[in-house]
Amino acid sequence: MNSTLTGPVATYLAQVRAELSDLPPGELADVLDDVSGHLTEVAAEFEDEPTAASLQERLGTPQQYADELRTAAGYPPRKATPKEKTGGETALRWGIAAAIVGPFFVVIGLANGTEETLFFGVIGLIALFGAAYLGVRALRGSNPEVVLETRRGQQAAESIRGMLDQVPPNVRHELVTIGQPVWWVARGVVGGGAIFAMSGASAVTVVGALAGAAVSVWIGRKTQQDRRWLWYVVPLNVIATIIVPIWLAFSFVGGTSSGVFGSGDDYSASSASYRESGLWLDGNQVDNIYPFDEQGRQVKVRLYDQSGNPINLPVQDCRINTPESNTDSVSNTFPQRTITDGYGSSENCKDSDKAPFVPPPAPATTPATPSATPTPPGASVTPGKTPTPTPPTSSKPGVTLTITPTR
Amino acid sequence: MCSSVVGRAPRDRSEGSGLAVHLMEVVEAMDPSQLLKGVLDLAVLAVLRDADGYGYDVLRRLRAAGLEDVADASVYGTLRRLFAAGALTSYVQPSEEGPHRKYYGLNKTGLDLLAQSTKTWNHFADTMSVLLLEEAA
Repeated sequence: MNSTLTGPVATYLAQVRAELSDLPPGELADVLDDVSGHLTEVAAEFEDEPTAASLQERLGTPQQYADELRTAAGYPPRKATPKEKTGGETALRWGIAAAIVGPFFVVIGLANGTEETLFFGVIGLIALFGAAYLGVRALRGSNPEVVLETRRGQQAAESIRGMLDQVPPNVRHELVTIGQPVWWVARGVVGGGAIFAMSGASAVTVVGALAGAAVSVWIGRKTQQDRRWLWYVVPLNVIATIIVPIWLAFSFVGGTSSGVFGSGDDYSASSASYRESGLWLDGNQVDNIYPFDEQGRQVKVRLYDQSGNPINLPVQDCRINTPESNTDSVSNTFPQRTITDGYGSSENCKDSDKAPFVPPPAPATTPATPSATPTPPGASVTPGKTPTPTPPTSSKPGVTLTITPTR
Repeated sequence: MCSSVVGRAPRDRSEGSGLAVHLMEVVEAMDPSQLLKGVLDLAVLAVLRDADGYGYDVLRRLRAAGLEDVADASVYGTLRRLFAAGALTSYVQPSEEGPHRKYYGLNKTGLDLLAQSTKTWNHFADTMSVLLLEEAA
């Protein structure tokens, strides 16, 4: 019966219902049945859908309408019903808390480093689910629609209806029939993908994203049946509406050709486990580089990557012992001098750039496929000559260097 | 009731503004929508005597009969109260244009109530008419 009413008429009915909420349930249902029929007839008096203002002009405010009805029907004057009121209001308050506090912590976590992501993420999710649970419990089994009968709920519903009324009905229809499933899949893909991307493997991320999409669609359907799920779903949607655009922006700016999942790996790489600065070779950190020329003599070089950025590493010579030294200073000159004796002392410190190993003899006949070890002798690099700042030879095949600029 | 207010006002209140306030009360009490309150039950019973009707239909019939000032919600409230008092029957009928409509009709109690109220009203109206005629004369 009430479902046939839409827009301002439905709002009016809800407001009348709120004014009469102290009546016994059976009587309330009956009288609202009458009011619903009345509003349908009144709405038909208008050529277009009546606005809230035109309804009030015709019938008085919902409060006046309810008062007239109450007086004429001989119902007792309205009693304060704190129990029922606080139920809806508490539930609404917890719902709002879940939708603000949870996402807040999760976003803080995402904006920070690896450990913070986990820490704040867990705090955010605990806050979210805790508040949502308290909200559902505050309903005490009553219809979730009671939150719409609170003053705040009414205002919110009215403003949302006002916004929806701006949208043409056919577009509204399209949004629900097409936009909703697309949104369900999108939030599931991003949510599932983001969680499993922390593992770093793209195959796992794809599976996680697909599983996330399936779970998300299931949750969406479940929520349509039981509106109490909204207490959990709305806050999660808030997180998703923050993350999905970031994700899309990342895949766009990242510019990788492999699409969402490839860029998803970039995303996780920059946000999660690979964030440490420094120089990495096949998963091991490289602290120093000892270049040898082709005759097997140690040389001093300056290293640059393919873009001309210096490949800097933190200095680790005796300067770090002096109190006034800037421990953040870096250098792209290799080999760097490392402390051999007198750690922590500024006077007795000794450092050296001599390789702490004997360079193995280079393979004699394979100049086209050099290994990661020093290049073989036989070419014409003059010992001791400082290389010009051109791209170094470190990007030849067979070598996997992961370089993140030092911050 | 009205005459007592008029009679008392000049004695109790010496100031002009007090008199004005009381006069306003009297005028308001004679407003048709105020007068209607006492006899709305009777009016609703009367329009249902001819045929059963749903709320909006009753409202329309009251307006057509000249009771323009009747408030929509009051009619619906009156129907609920008369139904609760056992004077009306209620049943739902589908309508071609929209949702189902709840019809109200008089039962035996309602008919008795109508007859009794009509008697009371007629007596009251006659008394008032005679009173007003005498006053005018």
